[in-house]
Amino acid sequence: MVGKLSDAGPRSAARLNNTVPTERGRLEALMARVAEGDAESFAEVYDEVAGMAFGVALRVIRDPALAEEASQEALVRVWRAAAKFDPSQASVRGWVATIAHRQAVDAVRREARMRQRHDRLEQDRTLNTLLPSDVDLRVERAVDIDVARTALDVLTDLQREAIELAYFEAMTYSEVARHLDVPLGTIKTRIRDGLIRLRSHMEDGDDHD
Amino acid sequence: MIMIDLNADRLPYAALVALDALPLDGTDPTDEQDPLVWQLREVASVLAEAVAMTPPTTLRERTLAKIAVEIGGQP
Repeated sequence: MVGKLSDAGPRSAARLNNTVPTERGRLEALMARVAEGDAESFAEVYDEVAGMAFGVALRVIRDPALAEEASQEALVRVWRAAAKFDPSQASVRGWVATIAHRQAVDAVRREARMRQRHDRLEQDRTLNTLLPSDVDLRVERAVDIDVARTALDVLTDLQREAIELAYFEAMTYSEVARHLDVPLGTIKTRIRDGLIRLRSHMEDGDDHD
Repeated sequence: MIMIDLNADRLPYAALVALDALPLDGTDPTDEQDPLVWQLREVASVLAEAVAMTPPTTLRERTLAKIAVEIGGQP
């Protein structure tokens, strides 16, 4: 099977981000000024992308305070790394989304490591004592994913489940496979096919159910 | 348009990197040079757009204050 992925041209990349070319150009011009140290331009970029950065951080981390901290780190990272932004490589939104997602995943992993260390210490202190799990607390803090689902309606349930676990739960392919108790190859196929379907939907503007 | 063989062995790996579903703590995702990875990140970014929500006003204030400090101005 041979398919097409969008090249880095303004028109196709803009369609991937549901923005019109002029919007993409405006953001790119702002980023160029940010790279030169223009704080006012950064404030404009912030207003365009902060909602996305905070939303993805909250969805991945689930704790509003930690999500705010992670999204702030991501946005400061956007400022510091602005000179590395290459419009021929990515759109501003895609670039910021990458940074925000990585920051959120790293925050979750730092939190997990800290929790593991804490749990080991507690276990050392209280042998034979069952520690309460925080799984239920994490579930209770889960944010409403209805908004995400509307964008993901083009996916089958199996594809969406695998992609959400990889993207929002920061699981590796192997972890997703173990979590769902299905072969690793099946998970790779679901995620790949899901991304292909998302891409087709964004390129065509139509559902492919 | 770039034509890509969607069954290429490399694509699942690239998709994996695109989703950042690897233990890559400490690495800088903006250092990525593979155009395919960036293209797939563009695809994956729809997930980020889909969950966008209004951030706390304090986030804007704190972020811009930090930037002001970094450039040596007044927060």
